[in-house]
Formats: sequence, structure tokens, C-alpha cells
Amino acid sequence: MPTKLIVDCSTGVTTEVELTAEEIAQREADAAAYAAQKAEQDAAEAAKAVAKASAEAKFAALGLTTEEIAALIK
Amino acid sequence: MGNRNNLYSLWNSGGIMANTYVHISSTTVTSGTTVSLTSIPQTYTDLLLLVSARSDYTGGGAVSMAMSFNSNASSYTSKSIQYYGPSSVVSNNDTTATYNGITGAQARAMATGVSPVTTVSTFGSSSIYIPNYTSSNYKSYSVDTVTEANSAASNSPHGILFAAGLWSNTAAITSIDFGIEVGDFVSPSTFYLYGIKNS
Repeated sequence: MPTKLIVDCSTGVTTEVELTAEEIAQREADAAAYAAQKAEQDAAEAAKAVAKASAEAKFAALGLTTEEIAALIK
Repeated sequence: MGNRNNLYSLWNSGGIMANTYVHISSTTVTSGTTVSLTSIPQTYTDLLLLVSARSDYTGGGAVSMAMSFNSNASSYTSKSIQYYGPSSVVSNNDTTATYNGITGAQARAMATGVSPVTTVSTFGSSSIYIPNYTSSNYKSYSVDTVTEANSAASNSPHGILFAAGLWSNTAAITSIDFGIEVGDFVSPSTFYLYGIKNS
């Protein structure tokens, strides 16, 4: 069972409490949202990497050296 | 032992420093999804929180937290700059986030997730500084965070983040709640709270 931790800073007493059904439902919704956002971020980064490689190939076809391409891209 | 009064002149000339940096509480989390620090003493000027955290989430990536003051769910804004992966630099304008029932400021990338690109037993390390936490003004805070991974993979969660935040509320801060974005805390995630006096 998932739990939450409550710390009383005045006494140092720590209490571990089981989550309610509502809190568990929220937890599952948060996990699904995180997975969707992570997949979107990964796809965007992969697309950016593909576009970068394509741009480098086109610059190379124009006759630019590796150093010149790096100077342009960075 | 000599007479304590003999130290009077030495104390007043700065030869003995007052005890201005005081440990309030240490919390080690072995599992679970949220941590609540309650009944925070109102006897200091500033608060410093040192957080070391890791999530057992297996999907990869650095995991954020929601951080709320006094269990209040509104009036949080923050700006952050984050550098992660091989060369990704992003700036963020954040308001609130809800993670595991905690609605508060989004504290990005404060815990490291578990994945094939994340080194075993590495944790995200953060320091959160909250000046004038008992004042009747709005409360500002700053966060600096590093996450570890020891990997150059494009989706590697290692990186660094700096954030400046504001809670537009005049109440003194008496409690701080943290909810992890996804997964459970891995042992030994820790929360150390310190009080700092200006005198």
C-alpha cells in the first residue's frame, strides 16, 4: 500500500500513513500524465536530432568542412 | 571551569559566533510518495532544506516534485533554467503542479528516476532557501538542484537546475509538503531542515 510521511518538526515524531483511495487514484493519474509528457519530450528531442543530422548533411553537400558546420550550428 | 562571565568581552567582539545555523529535523524516507514537514518552529529568520531523493520510476528521466507551503494550493510562480542531456538548455515559467495529492510549486528535477541510463543508487540533490519565512510579506525562495546519471545518452537525466520562486501569500510558513511526480521514494531519500538566524 502506498504511503505518505508526516514529520512533526517540533517533536521529531514521524508518522507513516497509508494513502486513501482518492489519493491512490490521483497518484495513478499523475503517473499517466508523466508518461505522456515524457514520451512527447523524447519524441521532440528525437525529431530535433534528426533535423540536426539532416542540416549537417546538407551543409556538407554544399562543401562546408566539419569545423565550419560545427561553427554554424553551435 | 572558569566563570562564564569572563567570556563576555570576547563574545561581544565577535570572538565567539552565535549559534545561527541550527538543525531542525532529519527525515529519511524509505518508501511512499509524499513528505510533510509540519510544526516548523517560528524562531528563525530563514529556512534551508537539503533534499536528496530518488524515485523508483522505471520510465527514465529526472523526476520533479510539487512543494506546497502550509498545504496551500495556489499563488505559486517560479522561473527556472535547466541544463540536461548532451546540450539541452531550457527556461521554464511555472505555476502550480499536483503530484500525489500535493498541489504546490513545481520543483523540477529534484529526484532522479530509475532507468537503463540512470546509474544505480544516484540521487538528485537539492537545496531550497526560504528567507524571512515568518514575515508578513510574500515569500520568495530559491532552488538549486543537480541530478546524476553518469551517462551521455540523449535522455540521460543528469543535469543542473536553478530556480527562483514566489509564494504570493503573507502567512508565516509553518509546514512544507512534498509530492513526488511519479513512482515512490527510494531509501534513503532524505530531507534535512535547518533554521538560520540573522543574529
